[in-house]
Amino acid sequence: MTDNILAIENLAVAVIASPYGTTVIKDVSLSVGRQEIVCVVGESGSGKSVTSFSVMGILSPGLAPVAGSIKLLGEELIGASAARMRELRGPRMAMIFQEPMTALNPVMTVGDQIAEIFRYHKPGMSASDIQDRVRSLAEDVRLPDPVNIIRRYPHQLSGGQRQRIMIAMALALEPALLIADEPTTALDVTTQKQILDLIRDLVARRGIGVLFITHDFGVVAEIADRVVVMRAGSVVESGPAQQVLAHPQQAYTRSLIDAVPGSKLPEARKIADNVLLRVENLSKTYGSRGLFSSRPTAAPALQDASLNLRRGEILGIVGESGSGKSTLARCISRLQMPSSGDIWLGDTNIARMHERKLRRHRKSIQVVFQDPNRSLNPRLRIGDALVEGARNFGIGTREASDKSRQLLALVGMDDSALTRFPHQFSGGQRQRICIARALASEPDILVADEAVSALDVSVQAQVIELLEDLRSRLGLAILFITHDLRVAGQLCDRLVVMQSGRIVEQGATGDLFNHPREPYTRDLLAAAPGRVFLARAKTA
Amino acid sequence: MSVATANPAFFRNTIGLMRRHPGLLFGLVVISAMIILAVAAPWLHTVDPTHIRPRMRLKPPSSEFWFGTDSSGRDLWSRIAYGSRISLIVGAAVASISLVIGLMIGMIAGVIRKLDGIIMRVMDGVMAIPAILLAIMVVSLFGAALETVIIAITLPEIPRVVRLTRSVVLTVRGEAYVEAAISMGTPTPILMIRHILPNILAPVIVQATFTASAAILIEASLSFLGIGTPSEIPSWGNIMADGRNYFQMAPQLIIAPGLLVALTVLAVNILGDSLRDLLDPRFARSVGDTR
Repeated sequence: MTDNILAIENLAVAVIASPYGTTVIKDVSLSVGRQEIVCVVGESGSGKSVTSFSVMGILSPGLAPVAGSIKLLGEELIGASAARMRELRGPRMAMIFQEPMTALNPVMTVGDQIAEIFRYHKPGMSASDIQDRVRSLAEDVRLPDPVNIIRRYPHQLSGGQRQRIMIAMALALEPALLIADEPTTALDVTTQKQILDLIRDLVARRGIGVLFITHDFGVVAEIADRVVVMRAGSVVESGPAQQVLAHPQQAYTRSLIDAVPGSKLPEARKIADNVLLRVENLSKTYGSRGLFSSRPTAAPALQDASLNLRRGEILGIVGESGSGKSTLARCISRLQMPSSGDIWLGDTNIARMHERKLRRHRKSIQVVFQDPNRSLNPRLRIGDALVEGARNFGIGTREASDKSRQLLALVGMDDSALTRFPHQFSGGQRQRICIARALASEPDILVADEAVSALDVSVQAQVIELLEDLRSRLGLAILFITHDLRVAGQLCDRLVVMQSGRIVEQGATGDLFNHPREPYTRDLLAAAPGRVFLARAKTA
Repeated sequence: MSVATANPAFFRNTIGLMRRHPGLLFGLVVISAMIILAVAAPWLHTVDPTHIRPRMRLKPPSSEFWFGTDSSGRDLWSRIAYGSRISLIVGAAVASISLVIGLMIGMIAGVIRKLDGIIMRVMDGVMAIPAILLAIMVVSLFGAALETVIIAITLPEIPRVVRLTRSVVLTVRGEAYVEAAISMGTPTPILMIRHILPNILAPVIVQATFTASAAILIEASLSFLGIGTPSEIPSWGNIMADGRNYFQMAPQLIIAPGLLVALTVLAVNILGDSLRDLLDPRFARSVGDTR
């Protein structure tokens, strides 16, 4: 009897449908002991999710383990029957996912969903016993007011509460192993911290083992006992967390750790007082104008926001989801019309300008969106996408296509991209193309709405570098919207912190990081994962 | 040299596609056969389908009259072959006209939000009228002619296309690439043609195949009721209408055209289904949830 809960040895998974037997992961070995949190770290495509799916036996059809062994509490899982795997899932191992909303049934109360597990797995349990168990589980995952909260539906809970419910469901049958696949990636930083604390607390109290999949070394620094670094389907490095973080043996691990944003603050730069954009008392209320009432019903998404943006400046707008940062960005780029307030672009107020007149001013403000998969028209070649902006502003075809070549070079891509379609590029390349497209109309202001949030850390670092480079070469002003304080700290000259539709604090990045005035800013800073570790790295 | 012979990979891909989607193969084969029947009707052992021979009434199938003759002594095979033209024309015309008009109205409703309410209420109004009744009304107002029948069947089909188009436009409109185009100052008409239209086409084309099969059925029903194409033009519905009094003596008068209607509608529907399977993954990838 070993004291390992999970032991994976030389696991290989391959595409079985392919005649070439393409391997997705190979030679993966790792183990999880009692009371241990093992983090599997890697970028997208590194095989970290495939590893966890093979343990659960939920690989997509077409993929199958071809070699190695997976032992759960000494029992071999490879080759186990589907029925046996079903028996193991729940009582022995359980999994939580990135997006708790899609994993919960929207038409059942969360309490009923937890209770259902007992009804299936323990048919003998009485209804009142089940109710007691559900309540104690809700308490276990530290849900506020557990008696009432279990009567609610998933959409009535916050993201963090939903993830707690998922954890409660996973722990319902007291499994020995919990697999957590990026459980905090979709959550705000402060919520992320609470969930990480909860998982660590549960590990200590219940003695479970956790296989924690993440792409974020900051999270690793917060939670891991041991680390397994994966790249392109193989384990690159593994060892105790402290050792890997402090003295990574592989260059790749080093680069991942360095890519964690926020490991350094930028030097304060002098910026000429050349104000490009002045936003004054901007407010936006989403009017759900009913059939019978014309009164807007919703709370304002944005209230009295005022800020200045100077040439060559990168202004970060930081806040959690629902803080109004995206609304602010969309109002400034006039994808939405603000309800009141002014947006001064030079001498013109574009806040409530009519679309036809506005079209002329649109070229000065361009937007880069969060998800590069969705921000390029899938049926338009890159060349056509790049000339569009220039042609809208009356530049000839020949000149526009010459320019798109220059733009591609500017963002570090070559001409061959022009004739290809968006799906032929990686996420990072697509984001570069999106930036090139935004630059085509020679804007003064670039609005980057979570432009690096969907990218892997190393790609994220490259895009941030590109933005910095463009700022200094073209004198662009960049409005950088992000939920990630670490990214903002690394890139921005000044920061605006937003909470529930209002600007709570703004100031130079260094001042704000070192001497936050508002308690909310302090909470945000404290919640950034890997803070302690990064602080140590910074001083070292 | 054609593209196909120049490129063996093209052949291989096509064969592979057909093997993965047998419905597509079935639909295409049946519909191609119908098109050949309609186009080549004069050369397929047929005679003038309107030629009346009083002495040859209700003859059983023979080598001269493959499917026998009807109550006026007209050759049933010839009538069916020529009748397929009507069905195919009606199906294709109704599908393409309702597709084009519906697409335009639906895109306007989806993009220009001010007109949305008005357009959609009008469409709801049109949809509230039963299709067959509307067709009967139009035909009795303007007289029985092929064009009238096409218009009569197209009218109630338009709102379905409009609804579908509008709903897909609304999802595509929220896509970041459309917003990016707006922020680049792209004028609305170009926005609609370059960014929205290509990305909504797949589901609308699938809908068009279902419209075509519905149109073939409705035309046959109208003709059967005696209010469709003029009775001197052979159409599958007309043949069945003429044959209904002689069903016990010559059941082939109803069975043969009826089977053909069923087969054609089935083929078009199966083609639509497999088109949906073929186009949808792409459609799901372009507008699906990737958050």
